[in-house]
Order: sequence, then C-alpha cells, then structure tokens
Amino acid sequence: MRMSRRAIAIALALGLAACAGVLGLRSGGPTSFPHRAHVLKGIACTTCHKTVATSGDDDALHLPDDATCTSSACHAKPHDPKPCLGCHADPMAIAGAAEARVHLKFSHVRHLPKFSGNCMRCHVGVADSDVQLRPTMQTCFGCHDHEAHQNARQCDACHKDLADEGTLPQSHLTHDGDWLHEHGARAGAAAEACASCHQQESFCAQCHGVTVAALPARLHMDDPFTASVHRAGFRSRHAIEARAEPGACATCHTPTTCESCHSREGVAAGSNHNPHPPGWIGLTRATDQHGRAARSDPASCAACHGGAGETLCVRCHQVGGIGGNPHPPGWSSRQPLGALPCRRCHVLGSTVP
Amino acid sequence: MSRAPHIAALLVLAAAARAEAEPLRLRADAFASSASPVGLVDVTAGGEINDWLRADAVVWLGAGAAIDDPDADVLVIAAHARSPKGHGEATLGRFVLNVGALRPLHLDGLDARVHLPYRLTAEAFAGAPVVQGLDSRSWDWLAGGRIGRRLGDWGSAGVAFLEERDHGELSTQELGLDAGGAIDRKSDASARLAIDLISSAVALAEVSAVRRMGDVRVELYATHRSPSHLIPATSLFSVLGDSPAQHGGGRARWRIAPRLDLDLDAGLRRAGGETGIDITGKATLRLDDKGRGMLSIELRREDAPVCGQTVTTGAIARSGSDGSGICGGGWTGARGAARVPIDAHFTASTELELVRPDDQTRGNWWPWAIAALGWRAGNWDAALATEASASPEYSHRVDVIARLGRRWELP
Repeated sequence: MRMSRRAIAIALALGLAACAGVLGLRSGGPTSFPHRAHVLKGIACTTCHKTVATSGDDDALHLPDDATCTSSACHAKPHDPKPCLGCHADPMAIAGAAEARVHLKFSHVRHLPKFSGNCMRCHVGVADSDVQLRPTMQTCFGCHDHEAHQNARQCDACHKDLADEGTLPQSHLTHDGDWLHEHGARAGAAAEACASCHQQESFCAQCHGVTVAALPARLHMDDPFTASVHRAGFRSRHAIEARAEPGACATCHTPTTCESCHSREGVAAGSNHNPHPPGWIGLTRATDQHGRAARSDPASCAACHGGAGETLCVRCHQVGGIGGNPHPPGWSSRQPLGALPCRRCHVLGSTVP
Repeated sequence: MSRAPHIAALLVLAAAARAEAEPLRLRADAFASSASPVGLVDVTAGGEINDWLRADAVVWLGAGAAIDDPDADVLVIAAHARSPKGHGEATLGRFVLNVGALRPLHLDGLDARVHLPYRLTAEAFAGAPVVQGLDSRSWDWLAGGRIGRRLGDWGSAGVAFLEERDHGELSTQELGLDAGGAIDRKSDASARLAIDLISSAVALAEVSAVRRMGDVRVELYATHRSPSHLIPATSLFSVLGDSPAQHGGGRARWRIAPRLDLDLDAGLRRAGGETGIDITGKATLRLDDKGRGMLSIELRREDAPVCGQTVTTGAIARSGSDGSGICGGGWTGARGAARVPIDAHFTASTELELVRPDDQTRGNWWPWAIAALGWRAGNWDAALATEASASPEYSHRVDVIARLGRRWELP
C-alpha cells in the first residue's frame, strides 16, 4: 500500500515536471527580472533605466541594454554571451510595457520631478514582487482626478485609441470568472463603466436586440472560446434549460420570439405535433399537469399559445367556465377589467368571482 | 417587407463615404450556411463625426432557403451626442438601452442623461419598442428614467422606472433598484431588484459578490425570478400568480498554474416547487503565454423540474417520460474545445459536446461537434466550419458554415 502511494506520488511529480513547460511553470525558462533584489542593494532605478529622466510621450522604451548591466562591477563578467534580458526578464512583462508605450500617453519626464525621482511612488509592486511593476489605473487615479473625463467617457486623455488597444483594464474592471452570467447584475449599476470601452448602443444589441443576425458563438464559429450564450448543442437542450430556470429566456426574448421559431419548426399551436404528454389537462387538481406547468413557466406556454392562441385557454377558464379560476389566492392586479388580458375571461357583465 | 433595412444599409454606406476624412470603423461579415439562413450579411459601422457627435449602425440582411423571401433588420441606427465637458449626453434613433435594474430595452426613440451636482445622474428615455423585422405596429410605446448617485469612488446606486404600453394597454410598469461597487481592493458586489408595480411583486432580484485571493477568485450569486411578472401584463399567462424560481450558488476559479485554470460552479435551483442542483467543472489550458492556443474540458450536470409529476395516493409518479419528451428532468454532459494556431494566419479549432438527457424518449445521447479553420490577414478574416449533430429533432445533421469578414478603419 505504502509502495503504491509512493509510486503515485512519484508519477505525479514526474508528470508535473514533464508538463511544467506546458503549464507555464517556466522551469528553466526566462524569469522575472529581480527588481526587488536590486532595490535592496541600493541601486537607484535610473542607474539602469537611464533614459527615464528624459523619456517623453513618444520616446522609445527605456529598458537597459547589456552594456548597462556589464558596466557595473557586479555583472562585469557575464556568465553567458546571450542577451541578459533574454533569460532575466519576463517576456510578457516586456511585451506589456511595449504595448503600453504604443497605446498610452505617458511622460516619465513630467512625473519624475514631482516625486523627486522616487519611482516607487507609482511602481509600488517593486517592494512586493518582480512580476507586475506597471502601475495600475488605480495608482494613476490616486493623484489624477479624471472625473470629468470619465463622465464624458473621454479615455483619450491617457489612452491613444481604446478600441485599437483592445486590452482589458487590469485594475478597475476585468471580465474574469463567468462574466457572461455576471454581466447583467454588474452592468445594472455600472452602465457608464461599460460604456468606457463598449459602444453600448451597438455592442449590447449583438445579443439583446429583438432580432440578431447571428449570436457571437455562431458568427465566430472558428473560436470556441468566444463569450456567447447558447453555445454548442443548445438547440437540443433549450427546452430543459428553459424549464430549469423559468423566466431566464424572458431576459432577452419576448414570447413571440419563441413562437416564430416554433412555427417554423412545426411545433407551434395548430401543428400536428403535440408536445404535451397524455393526460396533460387533468380533470382534478391532483391529476392536472398543465396548470402547474403554466404557473412554473408561463412564458413557455405563451411561446405557442400567446396572442390569438389564448382563446384556447379562455374556452375553459372564462368566468363561469369549467376550467375554474386560474388566479391564485390573494391575486390582485391594477389592470382594469376592461383591459387585456382581463376582458378575455371577464366578459362584459361578468363579475369578479 | 419594409424598405427601412435597405434605407438603413444605404445610410451606413453613405456614412462610410462621408467619413473618408473622419474617424470611422466599418465591419462587414458575409455568412453562409447550408442550413437556414443560407446567406447573411452583417454590417457594423461607427465613428465620431466630430468631438461631440458619434453615429452607429448595425444592419443585417439575410436570405433563407426561399431566395425570394429575404429577411433583414436594422438593429442599431443611432446618433449619440454629448456636451463638450461631459455634463450630458443624448442618443437618438434605434438602439439597445441598459438602464439600471431594468432589462435591456430595444427601442426607437430618445435617451438623454445629465450629470447633476452631488454626483447625481438623471436619465430619461422614451420611444417605441422595436418590433421584429420592422412589422407594422399599433399604438405601443415605452418611457422611463433613472436617478443614480455615485458613492465616492467605489460604487453607485440608482432607482429606475419603466412604463410600457402594448396596443395602448398597460403591459409593463416596473420599478428597478440597483447598487454596486468595490467593497475593498479585493472584493466587489452588485445587486439589482425589479418590482412589477401592476401586480405588486418582485419580478427579478439578482445579487453577486466576488472576492479575489491571489490565484483564486470566488463568486457567490443568487437570483430570484418570477416568470409571470416578467412577461407582459397583457398576456393571459401573467395572471397565474407568483411561482418564483430561485438559483443560488458559488463559482470559483483557481489559476493552478500560470497557464492552467480550474473552474467550479455549484448551485442550487428551485423551480416549480422542485429543487435541483447545477454543477459544472471546467479546466482551461493556454498553450502559450498569450492564449492564442487553448484547450478546455467541461463536465456539467443540470437538474430541471419534472413538470409532468402527478400525485397518486401519496406517491409521485413521473409521467414526463412517457413519450412527451418535454418534461423529463435534466441533463448531464461533457464539452471539450480546442483552438490551435497553425501559423501567424491560420487557426484550427474544434468544439465537441455530448449530452445525455434524463428523459431518453427523444434519444439517449445528443452529440454536437464543430471543426473549423480560421484565417486572418490584415483587415480580412475568414472561417470555414463543418457542424454535425444529432438532436431530438434530427437523427443526424451536417452543416457547412463559412464566413468572410473585412474591417475598414478610416483616419
């Protein structure tokens, strides 16, 4: 038993080691630049990042070259002829800095004098780790009040072209987790934040329009990771999913949406295909199925029996009819009896039972 | 069919021509499928005409199997203006509007928003609800508004109101309350509540709270929906009373390795007087640091009420699995997806799903698969895919889908 446990542990360790590269564990690959170690040695940032002090809006990145590293006493004899940053820097961090240089308006030369050359005022991550040193938007907002810009959604005070930048802000709002399910509640109180990046009038319409040409999952069928509702074989599952979460369909669809599709597929009212089980309309409360189903998910019933189809229900449920009163105890409504849908059952002259 | 879609398409093209010297983004996708719709063109355009005025349009034109019966619609054609200092803004035309706790509205009309002192925001809108395919409409309209207030730099809250008339009769009267914000640097929460004022009941309530702890992100959520209050009050099915459905649970994402995420979603559903579970486990592996290549596998179990239950002498007999096919419980399934870059221009992808319904009168398994090849070069992109499935409606079905897209960005 002990042997087999040991064998499993060894197998797991070997498997993990074999997959380390695939999993991004980076054993043997480039590592983050040890900024923290350099800071603890008392080396000033501008010793390596020499061009920071003169770096303006459109200047190149100010990453140190090999000559900068080897000019110091510490690294005078490099252990490898390869470029230093090839191994001692996270390529993603360099790529991120390059992206920021392209897409953001930022001038080090204007910021440095205000903080007496103290880079850590913004690059707070140096003290904690070596992974993410680029300041977050929250850090910027610590000094810059961009309320007017945010109100006007004028992101171009800092972002050269937000649509072209196409990256999600890392500091104030990221679409992580199951964003598709979360976004409704989030957007309710933060529609203006959404509008910072998305032209809401058209972006929301791609899914929430009364008609849509094709949902993102269909239009971008070559990317199975596109965020979209109704993925994969939803067409087969939709009846179950609608029943599992009654009312969810009504978030986007009106009952007529269902009706038009069901008519096309020949499963609407009046078709030869009856989707209801035998005994659907029971004669007693104990055997009745349709009333209970209708209460659970009225939108499903309305999908076929809405509009003119409601006359089917009214035949039995009108005042004095054999179907009885469909209202639950304590039912009340502000609709006058002469309005729809009341007048369908409460015909002129009838009284409320 | 109305001429409006064609007019809108011309307007889009006119806007493109007008905007040669102005910032404008235009995207057109041609989509063809061996299944209906056979052909589809989707055009999206938007751009800033000047510092304070922007225009957007989304138009699609499709043709089904009957080529003489084309279909088309204008999703969006709107002009959006804002005051130079951002004190106010307005949108006119056809657009989708998201206002506080109200569900998204698709309307032809006007929306105006103004920022007031004390961090208050007032918004008002009015118009006619969009009708599918620009069919003729009778006297229906909607109007409403929202008052919101920002709470420091960490959140906001608001109250919204909507009244909608269908053929002149009251169909929706809803009050919405919303709130959201960052509790601290690692936690945020949001909530919305919609109350049906016609029959005084909660139509929709939703709460979500998120906590981030290093590589782990946890969300707790709860939803309460009352379907009879979500459909128009003019529908006969709105008089059946309050039979709410609830769904609550938690989701967790653990970045177990820099390129590997594990997701777990476990929830409890209550609908139609029955309780069921909803559980999903998913693993996503990025094949490179930028995530161009990805693999994922997902297992899911979802319960649904057995709507055909009948009570007989104290025992519950499930009558849903007698051939009806619509009442037989939930489903269990697995899904796998892969996206693998072949070179700088080509990407191969596939997605597979296998579902086993509890009620097997309409088939024991519902498989679905798609294999696609995507291509991107400059402003062009294209994709070709084959989709195959077996479903309750079809013993087997194979479709071929193709897309060709082009993006224009004018200075």
